[in-house]
Amino acid sequence: MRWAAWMLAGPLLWAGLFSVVYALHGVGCAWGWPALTTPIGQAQVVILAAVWVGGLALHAILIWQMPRGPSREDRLVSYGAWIGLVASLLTLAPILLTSTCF
Amino acid sequence: MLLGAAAITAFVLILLAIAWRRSEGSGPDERVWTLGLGVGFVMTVLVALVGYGFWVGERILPRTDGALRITAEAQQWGWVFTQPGPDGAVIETQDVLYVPARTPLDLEITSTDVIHSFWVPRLGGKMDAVPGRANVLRLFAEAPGELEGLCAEFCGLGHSFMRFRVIVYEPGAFPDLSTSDGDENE
Ligand SMILES: [Cu+2]
Repeated sequence: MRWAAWMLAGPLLWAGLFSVVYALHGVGCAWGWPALTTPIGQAQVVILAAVWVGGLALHAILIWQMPRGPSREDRLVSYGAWIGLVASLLTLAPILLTSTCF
Repeated sequence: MLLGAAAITAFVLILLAIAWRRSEGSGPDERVWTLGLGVGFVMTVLVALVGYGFWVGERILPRTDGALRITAEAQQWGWVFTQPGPDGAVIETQDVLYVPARTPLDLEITSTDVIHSFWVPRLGGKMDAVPGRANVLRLFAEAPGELEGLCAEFCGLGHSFMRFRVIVYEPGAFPDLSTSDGDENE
């Protein structure tokens, strides 16, 4: 059943990353991060984007390290890992695209 | 959006009809169905819809650009609007909101009793009117005319009559108050 854990790792990583970014978004709005500027932009966006990119890196490591092979289980593991990466990429892209804290 | 939804529904029904008529084992292989139509098509449509949602959402956010500010105060069961009048002086009106066309404005929405909700379908989203709090909604009316507005949050017996009119006027040409103001139950 190790393959099942591998298969779920991608979606679980997405769920965790999404929750963390969502929570940080609220914390940032409460603590006034949008008003702080850093050399590369608004602190709110920079912090959230940094966590996002860190999560994407973990997704990449997962894909890199996952067991590969021709069996059905290995295919499912690969699907799970890629689905997680694409989900994190798409659902957290609004960090860069939309306004925050209204 | 309705046309798009109708087109997709028709497309799926046609595919279904073809599937019923087709003999076993012929036609394109599973990849086309599962990856192309199952994942690719659905993702494209959903991303487009969510993108449109974000665009609309960004449009109704208030900005700090010094836009005209108007207040809307809801009570059981009506609306009091405070806005610039004919000669620029501020006027208060009951159940009629005057807004200049093609001018971004921020509407400060609040309530004196229970929770109501400001909604002018032709101008976009709803915004709750909450006692003790001012919610700000960015409005932009494209063309002069008269629009319908209503309370979109059940607020008691008079809720269904809690309607108002929005009169969009050409900037600089304020409509005649004596003819357009007043009776909200015409
Ligand atoms: Cu109401």
